[in-house]
Amino acid sequence: MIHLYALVRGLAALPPRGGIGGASLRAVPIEDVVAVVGDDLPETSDRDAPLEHGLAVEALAEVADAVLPVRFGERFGDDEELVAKISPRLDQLRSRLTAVEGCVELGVCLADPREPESERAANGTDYMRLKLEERRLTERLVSALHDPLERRAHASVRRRPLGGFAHDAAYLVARDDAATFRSIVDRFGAAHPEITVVCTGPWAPYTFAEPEARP
Amino acid sequence: MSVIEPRPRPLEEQITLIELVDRVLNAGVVVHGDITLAVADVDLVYVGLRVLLASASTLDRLAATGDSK
Repeated sequence: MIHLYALVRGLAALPPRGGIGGASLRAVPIEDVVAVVGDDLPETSDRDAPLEHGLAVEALAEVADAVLPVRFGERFGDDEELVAKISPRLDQLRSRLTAVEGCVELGVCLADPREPESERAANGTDYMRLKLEERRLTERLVSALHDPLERRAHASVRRRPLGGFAHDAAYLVARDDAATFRSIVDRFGAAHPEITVVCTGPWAPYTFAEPEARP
Repeated sequence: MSVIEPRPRPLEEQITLIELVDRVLNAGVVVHGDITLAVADVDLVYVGLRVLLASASTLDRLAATGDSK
């Protein structure tokens, strides 16, 4: 079994940090695209495996011109099978590599930890009125954060927020612009101390690796 | 005499790990249409972590409010 970490272009050398379980990485050239794989992984991974996969991809992003991270769990019997699966998609992968070259991904989340007033509504009518009001305020807050970031980014994907978040998005940003981008998010957070705004990354461009934006 | 409590992982670091694992499991190039994840409890792990994160920010905020009073 071989495990696929990423598809890259312009890879000078494999990073010294290995892959899952510290196993070494190997480059499989498929025309001008390089698949970075690991060999002889056990059938079942432990809980650290996804994190180690992620760290290997981040290390590749440091040294390659362009990296398309591969979702955890893509395994192949041998190199031949890998090449057969990847080859039909080479054109599409090349165009994604071009789209993400020189860019990093930044994540931005917004959470509002305040107890909603609607929780204390006296009756159903009040509840609906407060609920609508809250939704309007949240939408206004989210667009005040998101709109300028979206304009600055090469691409952005808003995700369905989970676990109490009002906003959860990924932005594809020029590597040189990442620090400025982050400072815009930090300034927004400082101006709104009543809510939590978090910027994470820079990451390899996971969210922008496939042509369709994911929901 | 005061006892120094061991500090939990800083929020920033927790978020960083959660965000990375979330991406690794849910985004990136997909080659096989349908991956069967060979990791035990992985869905529960990442959803649970994101919920934890939201609670952690709430706790941090409460702690900060408590300090300033």
